[in-house]
Amino acid sequence: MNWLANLPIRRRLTLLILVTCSTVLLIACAALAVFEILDFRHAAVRDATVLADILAENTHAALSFDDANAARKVLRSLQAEPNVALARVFKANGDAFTDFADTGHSGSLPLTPAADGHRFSTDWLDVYRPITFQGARIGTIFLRIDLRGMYERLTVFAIMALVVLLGSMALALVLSSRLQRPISEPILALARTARAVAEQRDYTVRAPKLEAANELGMLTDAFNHMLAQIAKHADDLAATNAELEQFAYIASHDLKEPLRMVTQYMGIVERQLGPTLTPKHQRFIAYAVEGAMRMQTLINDLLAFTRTSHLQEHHQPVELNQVVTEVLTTFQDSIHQAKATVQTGPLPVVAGERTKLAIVFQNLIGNALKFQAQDRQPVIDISAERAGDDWNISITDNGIGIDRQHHEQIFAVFQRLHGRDEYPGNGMGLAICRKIIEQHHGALTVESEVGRGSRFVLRLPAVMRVSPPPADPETAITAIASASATATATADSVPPTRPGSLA
Amino acid sequence: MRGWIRRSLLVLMVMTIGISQAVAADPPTPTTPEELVSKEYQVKAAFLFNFLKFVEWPDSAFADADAPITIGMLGAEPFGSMLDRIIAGERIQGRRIAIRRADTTEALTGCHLVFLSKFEARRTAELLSAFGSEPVLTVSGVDDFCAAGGIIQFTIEAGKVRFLVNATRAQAIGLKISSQLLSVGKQFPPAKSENRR
Repeated sequence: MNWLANLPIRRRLTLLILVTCSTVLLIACAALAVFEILDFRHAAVRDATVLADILAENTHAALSFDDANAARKVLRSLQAEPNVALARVFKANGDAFTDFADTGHSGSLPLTPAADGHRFSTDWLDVYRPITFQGARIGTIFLRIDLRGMYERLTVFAIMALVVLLGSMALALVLSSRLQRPISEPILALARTARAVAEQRDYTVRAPKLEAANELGMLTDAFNHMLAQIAKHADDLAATNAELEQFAYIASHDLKEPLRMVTQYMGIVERQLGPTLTPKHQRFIAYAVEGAMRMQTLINDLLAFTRTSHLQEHHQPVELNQVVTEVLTTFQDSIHQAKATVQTGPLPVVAGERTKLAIVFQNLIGNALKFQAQDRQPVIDISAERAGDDWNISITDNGIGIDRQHHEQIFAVFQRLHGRDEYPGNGMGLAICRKIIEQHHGALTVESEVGRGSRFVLRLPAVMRVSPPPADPETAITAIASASATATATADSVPPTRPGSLA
Repeated sequence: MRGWIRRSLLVLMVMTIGISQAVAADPPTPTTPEELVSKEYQVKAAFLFNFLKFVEWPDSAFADADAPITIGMLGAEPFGSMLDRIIAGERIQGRRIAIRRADTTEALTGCHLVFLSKFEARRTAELLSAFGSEPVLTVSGVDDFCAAGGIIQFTIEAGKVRFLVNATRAQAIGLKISSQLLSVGKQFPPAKSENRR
């Protein structure tokens, strides 16, 4: 029945009406046929019995006075009855008295009378009736009724019924294909609208308005109302986001200014009072400068985080091999210092923003180098494997690892697991990474065990959705909302290539 | 003395009829003359009884609702106990059947059917003068019985017992004879249409 469930609603409605109509018609025809056959048999028995009784009545004198000729004359009247094939009158002692056989009918007459009553056989009906006169039984009359003529009439009736049935079904098909439209059309229109909304993310589309005051009209109105609500919320959200980002951007900028003043004037103080200061005060000034510097880094990261929030989504094919090679170049000193081994497998081309993906690799490789175990040489492995429609890109280290209970916590903003003295950092890195990957319609997860190492997995869609960058950043949101020119291409044809390896 | 004459006549009759029956019998079966005569009278006795079923008498012909239908036999008759056996226990239109045998017409007054055997052919006129205008079904095997004014006359046709019915006369004396009886018996006087058939 799966094909039925998958049948388009229009065909299904038509089928429904057809099946209903034909079932009802078939049952009606069958009932009529059964009734007709029963009625026909009943009528045949009744007619034959009446005929036999009338004949019997007229053979009283012939039987009483043993006049077979007179009886024959009586039976001769049966020539007017086209359905009577054979007739025979028996005397009271069971001897045949007189016969009638219609020309054109074959079949042999019974030699002795059977029990009174009627018996149906395939082609005829046999009737035996007693002949009684003045309270005494003086004989038996036998009639054989040929039913073939009547069966032919029944066959004609059945053929007529079949023709009517087929005609009715054809009519039902025509009518139902017209009558189901008021139901199927609005549903189809809703389905088309829903598909348009889902594919184009265009919340300004509306299902065609229905005048009907029934459930379909309500459904369409409710659907349109929901679309309007979603569009309004999307607009509100976009506006709020824009405001927030604007605020964060300005705030960060404005926060940097006082910090610069603290750093500068501390520098002046140190330079001018340098020789007169006690080592203790010099240390205090160093602390103040260091704090201000840290504050500045923090603000820079915040700025970076808010920038990633921008909905500007203009994805281009990004050669991850290249990105990783560039990132590893910036870490060249650290790798050398830690005597670390970095292995990179061939990486794919994905759709995305190159700079943002570079930030992700920067953070993850940086973490892998940072959280090293003291007792062993760091080994970092970067590789990719295909999983259905996605690429899974792993960055694996043999560092200190992360306790299972912290696996989600590490992706939150300002979350740190270690003291600043142990491992430097402000707790923004992984939050930014996850946000960037989510913007690329992917996911960032971690598998890790304390003391064994960590494996960060970037899941990125292999199917590329490349969009041209908007001409004007101000119109970016609306441009994306109505991005009808969304191009899709698969990365299947782009085999991963191995970047230059660094050790 | 009279009984002896009757008996010898009967034997003569039996022989003549027996020969004619034997000649016409189809299929011829080896039967003795006595058997043949006995068969003819057996048939006639049954016919007498059956006539009662096809004839309606006026109510005035019965003393009351329970009065039997009476068959009268004038003088000598050939049935013996055959007829008595046939009517035993039978009822027609709710009435029992009785048989009265008598030598005088007076003694048969009130009978509904009076039978005159061939042996008593000479008493035809006497019989008909006594019952000819009464609602009495007169039956006889005597030749020209119908012509003389009798209602039913037995005949022998192709070796079978048949009969003539004088329907006009029957109607005149108030007897209703069923059309079925008329279709089986021959009409007297013969109608022209009947001849043409």
